[in-house]
Amino acid sequence: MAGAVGPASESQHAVSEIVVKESEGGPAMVRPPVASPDAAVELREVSKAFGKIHAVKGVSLQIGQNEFFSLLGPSGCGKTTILRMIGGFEQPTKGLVYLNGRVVNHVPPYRRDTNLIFQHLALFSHLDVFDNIAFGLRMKGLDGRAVRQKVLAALELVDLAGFESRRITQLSGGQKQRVAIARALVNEPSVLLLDEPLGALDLRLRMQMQEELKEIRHRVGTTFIYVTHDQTEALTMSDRIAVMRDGLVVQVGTGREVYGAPRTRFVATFLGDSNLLEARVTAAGSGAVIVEGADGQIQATPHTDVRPGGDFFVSVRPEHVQVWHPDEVDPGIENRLEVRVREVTFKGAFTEYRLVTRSGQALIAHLPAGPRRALVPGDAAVAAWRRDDCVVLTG
Amino acid sequence: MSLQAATAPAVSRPPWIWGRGLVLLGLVGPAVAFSLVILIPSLALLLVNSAYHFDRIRVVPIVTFEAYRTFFTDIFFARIILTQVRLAVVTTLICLLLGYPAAYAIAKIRRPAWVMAAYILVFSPLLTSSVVRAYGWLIILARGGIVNWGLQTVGLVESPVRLVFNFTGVVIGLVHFLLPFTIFPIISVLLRLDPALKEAAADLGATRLRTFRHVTWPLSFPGVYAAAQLTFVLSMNAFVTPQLLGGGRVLVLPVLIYNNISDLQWPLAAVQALALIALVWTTVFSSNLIFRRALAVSSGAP
Amino acid sequence: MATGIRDRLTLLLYLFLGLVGLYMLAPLVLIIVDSFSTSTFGQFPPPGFTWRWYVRMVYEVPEFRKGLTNSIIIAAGATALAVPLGTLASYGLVRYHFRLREGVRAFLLLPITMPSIVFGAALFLFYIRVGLYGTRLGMVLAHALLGLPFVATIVTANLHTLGREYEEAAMDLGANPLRTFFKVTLPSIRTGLIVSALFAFIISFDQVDVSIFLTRPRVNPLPIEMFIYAENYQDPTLSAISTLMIAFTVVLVFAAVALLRTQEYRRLIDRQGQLPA
Repeated sequence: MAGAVGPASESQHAVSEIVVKESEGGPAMVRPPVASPDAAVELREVSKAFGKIHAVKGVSLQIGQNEFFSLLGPSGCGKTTILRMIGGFEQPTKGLVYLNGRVVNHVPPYRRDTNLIFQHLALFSHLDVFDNIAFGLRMKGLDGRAVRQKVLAALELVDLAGFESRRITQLSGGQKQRVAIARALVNEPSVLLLDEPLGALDLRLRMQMQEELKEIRHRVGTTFIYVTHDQTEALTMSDRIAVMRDGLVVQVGTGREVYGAPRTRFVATFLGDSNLLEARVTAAGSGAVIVEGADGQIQATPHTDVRPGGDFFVSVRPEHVQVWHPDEVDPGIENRLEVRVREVTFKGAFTEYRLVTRSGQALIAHLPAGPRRALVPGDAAVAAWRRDDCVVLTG
Repeated sequence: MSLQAATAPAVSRPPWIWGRGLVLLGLVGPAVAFSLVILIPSLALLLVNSAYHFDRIRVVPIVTFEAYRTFFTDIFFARIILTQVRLAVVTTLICLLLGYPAAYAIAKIRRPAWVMAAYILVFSPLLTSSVVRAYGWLIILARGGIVNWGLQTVGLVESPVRLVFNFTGVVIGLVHFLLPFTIFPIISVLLRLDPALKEAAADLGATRLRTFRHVTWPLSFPGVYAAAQLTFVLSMNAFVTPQLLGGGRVLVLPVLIYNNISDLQWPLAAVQALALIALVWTTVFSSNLIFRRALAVSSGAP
Repeated sequence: MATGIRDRLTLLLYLFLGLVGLYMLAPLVLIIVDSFSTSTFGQFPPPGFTWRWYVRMVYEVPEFRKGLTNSIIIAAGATALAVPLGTLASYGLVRYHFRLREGVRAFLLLPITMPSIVFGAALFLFYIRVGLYGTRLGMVLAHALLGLPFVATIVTANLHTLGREYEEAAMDLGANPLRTFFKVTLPSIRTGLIVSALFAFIISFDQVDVSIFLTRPRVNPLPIEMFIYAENYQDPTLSAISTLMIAFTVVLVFAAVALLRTQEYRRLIDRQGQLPA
């Protein structure tokens, strides 16, 4: 239930911009502000400690209305804890949790306008499908007719029309998923929380369910907060992703931002593969950052926080690295490195080239199958990539 | 407010239950209060009465500790304790001898129907009262009963053997009573054994006997120890079986306690009760000490 | 051949198990046989068949009938007390963490960790002071104390297996802790509740060691009446009542199993879509 806005003072002169804390130094990234009262969910300096274990260490986030927002990170990074704090199953040790502008730290789950889809679904096996979905509606005290109407509508929504009398034990994995989704959505929560709901499914089913979730999401106007450790999943479904590690949010942004412009080594390597090269900044301007590495000069996209003299890593994704014969390189490409081909592996959709530079650094390139003169191990070649595809990592 | 609440426990507990202490009290309180109200005064009275004076017809609430003196000086009680310990030891040994192979056999069974049948066979007597079981043995071991009939028919003996109202009868009845308690811990430990271990031993050249001696037995020892301890303790505490099958000739502390309470000799009964507890605990603790190394070795790291 | 020996050894083992099984069943079987025997002194083999002892049991030994009534009342009362108390306590012990948790757990197990004779004697000394001696209520309380640890153990195991997710799901859907407990937790541990009720009932019904100190002729439970009878007479009337007791317990167990199976049966029906022919 969207409560009244307030405590007014807090939301009004709160800094209504996203503050993301760094684990490895670097300034906060400021994003065009979303007015706090509009945020579906907001976390301010939220920490959670279990005895001596600090699961969450001071996280601040704003999640907009109807946004599909993912918390992405490896096991133990705190993403599920944050989800549970939004749902009301854990209480922050420090910090404030807002739902639609209202502080809910001490509001129990049965009084929050959120619904959680549990990792193992937690469907009530002593009730049939209808009673499972109707559970929340009955708790609210709706009359029989309204309950029936809404439950049947929810079953339609998840493509399970006609399943109302089935018992939970009779359902397949995918069907159980959908019942869990229906059970949550029928209550029309303002925020839907999903705790790695597709983890138990096999790959094919998982991809199918991802598409179905996206479908459902567009039919229903609700904020989705999704926890996963699978970066493909996060990229597929989310409007924005918060990458987490060790209890902290490392980067927040759209899929493209987080993938194309990672800010730390962790983010670069957690989402997709990345080549990392050590280098020292020699010049930083509005057009490019120029770094000097062991194999020469590299140009990277402009970065506001990088100054000459600092040591950083640059990242370039394997799909952006081209491999040429030394005499055929496109002169328009800014970065060119002399390499020797170590290994060539056919991987179906692309061919993987493992290269080694003059100074001994390893580079990986993924090239689509194409009618070009094939290179074999031992050949001398040139690895090339555009400046726009190369990013400086500050962490 | 309790934002600092979640510091002590390693696992977060439900935070939204206000008056958490009150709820906990409501949940655990009734059972605890119920137990407290009855147990504490009872045990206290036991202690207190053990020190009182008995003047031949009733208890007089003067502290004299004479019951203690009687108990510790009269050799009669020492003999009783000896009998009782002897009974418990013999019973435990026989239970182990019968119980281990039986447990091993049950653990071996593959088909679920047979497993269920085996469990029913072994554990169903537990559903009946100790009186029923003891009386059953009375019938079986009587002069005209089936055992004597069998022995005479086969020609092993000429006249009926006295199998009941003596030590033997009590042992037979007690073993029957306690065998399920012996078998259960041993089954538990045998079922937890990784079958791959036996296969590994065989692969390395061990015969079945050697596999048993070097792999199965040492690893199942903790279960055997638990079974032995349980059987021994239950045997020491047994009342109905020695009373009914002993015919007044097999005197153990539980029987004495019952007799003394009936005779209004409560101080003596109380002393005997405390002695029983002390006896049982001492044996348990000392055996734990003695076998500590053996247990650690069996359950230690591979 | 190794295989041959293996099979023979295994065969011997199973034979041994069979013998042990016979040993376990022997007293029960022979009681039943004896209850129909014409011989008063337990002569084997039984010279003839008669219902005499059952008739006698029903008409000539009123103590047995009174005893049975008392036993049922007391066992019902003890179960009605032990199951709710034990279930609530288990819930508190499993779902909450507090400093005295292990102590409380050990304390609730106390009645069965001490010799039942000692338990009985101690309670006796207490009961005569507070006027509970020789009352059915007194025995209900004592038997409840004996059943409580079993209920607590079984329900605790059930709650552990269940896990907190279902309760959290219920709360997420709007049920406060009280409604969650009744609508989700209890139905989910139904098996444990039925089994522990069965245990508590049977433990009380069969109880001798403690009852014997707390009873008076008017309120004697059945096993006590049998105990007294056995000390004075030994005729097959005792076998008859013993057979009845065995039958009663067996019926009780089957009833509980049937109760547990109804859930399975319901699922079976749903899966097949119709009642099996």
